[in-house]
Order: sequence, then C-alpha cells, then structure tokens
Amino acid sequence: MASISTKVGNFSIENPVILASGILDETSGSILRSLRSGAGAVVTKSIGISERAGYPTPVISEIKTGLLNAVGLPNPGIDNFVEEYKEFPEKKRTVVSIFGGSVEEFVTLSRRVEAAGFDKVELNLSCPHVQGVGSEVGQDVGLVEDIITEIKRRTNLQIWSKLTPNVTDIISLAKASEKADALVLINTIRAIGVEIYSRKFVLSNVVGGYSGPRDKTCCLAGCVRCLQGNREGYSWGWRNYNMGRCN
Amino acid sequence: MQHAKVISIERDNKDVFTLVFDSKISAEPGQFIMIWVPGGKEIPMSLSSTSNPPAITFRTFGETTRTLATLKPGDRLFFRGPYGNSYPRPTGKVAYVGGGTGLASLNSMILKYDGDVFAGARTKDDLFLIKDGYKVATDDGSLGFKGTVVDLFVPHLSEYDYVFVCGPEPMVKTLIDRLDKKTKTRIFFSLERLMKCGIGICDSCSINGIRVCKDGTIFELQEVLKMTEFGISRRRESGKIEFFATAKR
Repeated sequence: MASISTKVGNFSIENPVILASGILDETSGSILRSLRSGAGAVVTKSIGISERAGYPTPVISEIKTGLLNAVGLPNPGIDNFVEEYKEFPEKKRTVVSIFGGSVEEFVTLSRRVEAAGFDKVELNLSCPHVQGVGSEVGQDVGLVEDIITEIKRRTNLQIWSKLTPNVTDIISLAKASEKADALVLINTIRAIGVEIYSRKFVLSNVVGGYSGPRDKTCCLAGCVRCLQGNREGYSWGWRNYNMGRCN
Repeated sequence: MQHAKVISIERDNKDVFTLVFDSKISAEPGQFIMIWVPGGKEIPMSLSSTSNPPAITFRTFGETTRTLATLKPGDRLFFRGPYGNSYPRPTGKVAYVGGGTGLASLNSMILKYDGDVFAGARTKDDLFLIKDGYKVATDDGSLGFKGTVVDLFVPHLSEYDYVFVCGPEPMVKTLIDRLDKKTKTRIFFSLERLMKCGIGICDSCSINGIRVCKDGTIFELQEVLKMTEFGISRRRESGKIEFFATAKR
C-alpha cells in the first residue's frame, strides 16, 4: 500500500489528516477518539492563561454554504489543562493551540505546555472575534515575530503559526513567522449573519468567523500568496509548509 | 434557522409549559431541537410530541425559558433541528421512567407505544403530563409512593422487555448503580449534558469522547456503563472538569 506519511517541520506523521483546532478537541477523550479513529494528528482547542467560559449561545449558525461560529475561546485555563492531560498517552501526536495577549503570556503558556510533556504548539494568532488576542495580536507583524523568537529562545518546542486571512498582507505575517516550523492557513474568515424575520444577529457575539467548502478557495489563495512571498526571496523554507484548514 | 407559528401554549404546572407549533419537521421520538430566542440564548430541548403538529414541554428555569413561556399563539418560534438519534421501536412489555423534566422526552414515545409510566418529582406540584394509571413517586409523599422514582421502579425491572429512562444525571446514575447489570431487559437512556452546538462539533457535551448530541442522546445500558465519567464529572462552559456533588470519587 502506498505510504501517505508526511512531515510538518520535524514532525513525521503517518497520514496528513490533521484535526484543526476548535473542532471536537476540548476534551482529552474526544482527542483520543479522533486519533484512534485515524487522524494523523490533532490540534487542541486554544488554551489561555485563565479559565474562560466563552460566549453565550448561539455560538454557531448553520448557513447554506457552511458555518458561522463565535465560540469565544472557551478553555479551562492552562492549570486545569495540564492537570487533565497528566496521563494523556498521545502527547506526541497532539499539538497544543495557545492564545495570549502578549509575548510573556505566549512564553508562559509554551513553557507550561513543554513541561507537561508536549513538544508542539500552535500559536492562535488568528481568532477573528475576541478582543485583545487572536487576530488582534496576529496582525501586528512585529509582535508575531517577537512571540515566535522568544518561544524559540526559551523552549525546544516546534512552533506552528496559525495565520489570519483577515488582513491585506498575509505575506508579511508569513515572513514574520519565518522562525516557526510550520504555517497553518487559515483561521476563519470574519463574518456576520442576520436572521431576517427577527431582524437579529444570529451569533451572540454578532461577529464570528465563516468556515465551509467555500473558504477552501480563500485558504488556497493565502497559501499561494505565502509561497509567492517565499519565491520573492523570504527565507522560510518550502518544507515547513502546512496547508491546514483546507476542507 | 427554521421558524414556525405557535399554535398553543398551555401551563402544565406552576413552572412547566407545553408549546405546540405549526411545523412539518420530520422527527422521531427522543430527538431534540435547538430553540433560539432572538436576541437571547439558544438551548437544546427534547420534543414532547413528534406527531404533526410537534410540541415541546419545558420548565422555566432561566431567562430563555421564561421568554418562551410568554409566547402567544401566532408568534414565531425559531429553531434548528431535529438532531440526535431516537429511541428504538420496542417490542414486548414496555416501561418508561422519568424524573425531573425527563417525562417531556419520554412523552414522545408514550404517545406512540403503550407502556407503564413511572414518574418522579419532589412534590405533587412538580409533576406534569401525568395521566390516569401512571405510577407516581414524590420525595415528600404528597402523591403516590414516598421516595424516588428509582426506588419505585427498580423492583419491577425484570417484568419488562424494554425500558426507557430520562432524567437528571445523578438520578440516572443511581438507577444504573442499582440495576442487575446482567438483566435481559433492554434499557435505553436519554442523556442530558451542556450543549452549545447540537451538531457534534463543539465537544461541550462529550462523555469519554462520546458526543451526547450526535452519538446520542439515546444510549443503551452497555454503552453508558463504558462511560467512566458518567455520573461522576461533567464539563463547565469553559471545558473545565467539575464533579457531581453526588459522585463517589
């Protein structure tokens, strides 16, 4: 049988199917189930410094062309996360997604993740609907570069940098991520839905992100632009390239 | 998002209401819908009737359900679904065991398949959807058997071929703990958990990696017995594990 094994940075995986962050990856039981059902790797829901409930419902809306969501980064906080994953048997195939509002927060989270026995983090630099974190951090080119540089300096973790499509110049973000081991493209596309009979927004947070079959084209555009950026002389390598979130 | 006109809304007791709505949704007993109050929250709710027209029966315990209770005939009800699996078709002698608002979900089966109904509540004022012939248990003995519906039902288990159970998790856990695990009776449980999406993607309702909203909500006894977290711990809205006060850890 043909091998479909692949490498993302230094991470070898048996197959290239990776469960993206945010879907069925809040509980260790579900992550284990996904891995044992055939996923090559899983990225966890994003973890922050403190426990966070996320937004009230409705947090998703089914539309004809896919889904709108604004779950609001619910997470148990790094202390509870580490406690739950103490005995987790699949740490090498699990990438821990983290989010923060500053270089220090990202470094603190990364060190805790490494101390807990994981060797890969994905940086959520791209959540489109929470103030002060996600894409608000991820569109600041200097900050992205500082975050990655500091995590590299102070840990041995492999770093995946998840980019936002909600910027004019994704190439500059890719360039700012050149010290990362992989780029993940893309997070959801900022979107709003309205229910016309009630004249109300369909998500409690009003603003959310779109995902679905039609974002594949945007995802590919982001990937190709980053590759073109590479061709134009940026130093990050082709091999470090991960087409995450292509549906 | 779907919407349907409210046909009627009736008060079943001091805080339980049944709302009938004009929709041709094709639902099976045991399935649920996600009900949305525009400008407010979205919550999962079992259908208490899946015939045409369908109905929901709910207790007012928060802002969303209190708003639902103020709807009038002709108002719009917003929802998506139906979701989840359904109760299997029974054969032989059937029993239904409901506690809390569990009788709402079971009612969709009771309307289709005859059986003995065991219903429990704290007091007679908390009971709803009760009909003649139902076997009733109240904690304070104000109506029927004094004690829990679990106390009332368990001695009769072996008399039935199919049993359907719906109620709060600690009640269901108590029932399971007291069952003969080798029973030949087929027992099915409709489980309740915090749900955000209802379509199997957010992971809020998962128990040991099993999604209550998508793999369930109906599970047979043997499946529930494999869930080591069942009746012990659940997830907060943040995903943090919290333990049931009743759990033996």
